[in-house]
Amino acid sequence: MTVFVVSVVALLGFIYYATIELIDRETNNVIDAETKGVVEQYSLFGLRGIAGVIQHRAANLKEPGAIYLLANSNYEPITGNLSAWPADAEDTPLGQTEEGQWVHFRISQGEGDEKISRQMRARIIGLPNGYYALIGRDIGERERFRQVMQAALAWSVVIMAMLAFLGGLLLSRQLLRRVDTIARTSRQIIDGDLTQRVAVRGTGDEFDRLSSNLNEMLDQIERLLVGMRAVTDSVAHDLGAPLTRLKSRIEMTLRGTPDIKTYQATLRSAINETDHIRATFDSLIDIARAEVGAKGFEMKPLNLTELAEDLLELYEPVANDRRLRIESSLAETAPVLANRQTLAQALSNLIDNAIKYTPADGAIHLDVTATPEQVRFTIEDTGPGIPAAEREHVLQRFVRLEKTAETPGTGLGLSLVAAVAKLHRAKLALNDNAPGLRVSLTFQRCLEDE
Amino acid sequence: MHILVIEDDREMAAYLTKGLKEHGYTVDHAADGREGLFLAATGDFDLLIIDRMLPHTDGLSIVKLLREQGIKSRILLLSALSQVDDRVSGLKAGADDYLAKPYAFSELLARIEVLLRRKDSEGEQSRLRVGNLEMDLIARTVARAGKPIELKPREFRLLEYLMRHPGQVVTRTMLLEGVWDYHFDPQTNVIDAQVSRLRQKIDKGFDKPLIHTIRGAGYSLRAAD
Repeated sequence: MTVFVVSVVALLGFIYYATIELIDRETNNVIDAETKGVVEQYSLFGLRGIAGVIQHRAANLKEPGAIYLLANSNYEPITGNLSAWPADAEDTPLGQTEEGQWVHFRISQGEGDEKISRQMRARIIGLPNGYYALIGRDIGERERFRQVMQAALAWSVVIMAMLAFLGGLLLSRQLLRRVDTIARTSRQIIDGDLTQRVAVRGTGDEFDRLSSNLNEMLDQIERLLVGMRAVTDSVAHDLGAPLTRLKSRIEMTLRGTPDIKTYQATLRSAINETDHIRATFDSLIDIARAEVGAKGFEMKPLNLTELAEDLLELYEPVANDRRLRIESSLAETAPVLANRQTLAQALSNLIDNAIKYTPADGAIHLDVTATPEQVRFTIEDTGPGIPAAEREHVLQRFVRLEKTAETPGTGLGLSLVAAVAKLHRAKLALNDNAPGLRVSLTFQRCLEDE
Repeated sequence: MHILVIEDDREMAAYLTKGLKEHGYTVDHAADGREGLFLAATGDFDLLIIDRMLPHTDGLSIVKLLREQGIKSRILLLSALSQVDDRVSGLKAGADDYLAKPYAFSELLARIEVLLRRKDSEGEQSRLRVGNLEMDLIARTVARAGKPIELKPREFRLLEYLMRHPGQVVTRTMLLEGVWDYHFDPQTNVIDAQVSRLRQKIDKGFDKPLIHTIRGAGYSLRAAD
């Protein structure tokens, strides 16, 4: 604020001096021009000439406030519109020069109550024979103007300083209030209420941007926390049950009669159970890691068609063994930005599911289509499908369909697909293929074409 | 063959040592990173089996330090971290192979075999031969008993992998990693179907099969004597 006031004062000061200076120069120029004229008259016509011109000018004033006076060496007026030589200017040291001398003085005019004092600026020229010529102007106007200007400038400085102070106060109070709002909200969040969000005013200013960034960050934190909770729940559910099963089977065997055959059978089933636990555990970790986001996953441009061909080729013998036809129509190039391993794992889950659930002699359809904006992977099977009510449910993290006894696997396949889709910012959709299931993954086309 | 096991879990270590000894290996054991590094630095071992998480000095640092010292022993890293990037960081540090815990002992054994028999000059051969089966790596042709066999590119790579490890057990995971470069577990056993298709082309019409199934482990390509 100090800087502001100082610069305002400096600016106004400059305007003041420039204006005063201009008016002074104007007055001086006029006096100079007249003086020159008078001196010329003298050189042409001598004293008579100069007396004539002064008399003439004093009689026909071109502007009010002009004064002309010709006086002898004793300062006694000879002609002009001043009744006496101004007392203030008497002792001015004057040489007999045509250059003359600048003087300031006051004169009184009028009588009694109407008597007024006027401030003059004039030039006195010493003429060779001891005479003096005085030519001047009333600078009272200029003085009054100067005073008005000074007052105006002083007031504007005061008013501006006050305005600056008030404005600064208001602005900082407003800013502090908004900072306070953010601080209060974050306090509530620290105290455990993660649903709180910083208010956004919708003005799009810096505070709004800060607030909405904070809110997005909070959303992300909340998502992660919810994800964490889901992981712990799933771990408890998906791993707790088989561990209990394993333990009780071993305990039951030990409690029974010692028999090598029973022991062997129990141990073999224990190994199978631990394998299953491990597979579930791996799936949970894979899903959690894909859910948490891109860190640690290298994303590179790849052609989805090549990946699909690769997987088709990998699964073709299995499908043949089950007397399934896989039909495919693949776009030539389908560039996507992807992590090859996780995407391959997700797509192989989808193909695997399709093969698993399609009855013998059925068909599976696999498409990769590409538009300038999007790349889509679609797989259709002719199996039992997923009931409409359960489809949405299945896309949520860690949700598993009720596992049927004859279908192997952890039942977490689609959850992994959903997590990998999220990692790739792809849209996963489950639809009815009447009969069967149609799963599609829609990616943003990768712009770095091959 | 002399193997050093660096593993802090006593039970795990005892299980490994016992199993490896039964298969004819000489086995030493170190229970922490410092002792392991000290022993391994002698360079007396053909193979080091190193757990990734160890007290004092972790497995990854041991691998790096040993490679910096110019120790050429084969190294197999064991880890509870199964993600691809963990695997990549292990191999980058200088390990020759990487196996996620828990593993089947047969898987570990197969990988040890492969590592110990790997030759440094591998990859410079232009022809592979197992029994009467011949593969020309430059012309990309395969023939058995002089009769040409048509293979798809991927079948060719599968067979090449098997022929590069003749007589050794090759697990399904090793095939999936080595031939397809997939480091996850496809739930259905796709590898079995792939191998059985290859078997159709290689062994059909011949008395003596070359591709053998090893129960509970994987496959092995060998000429019957």
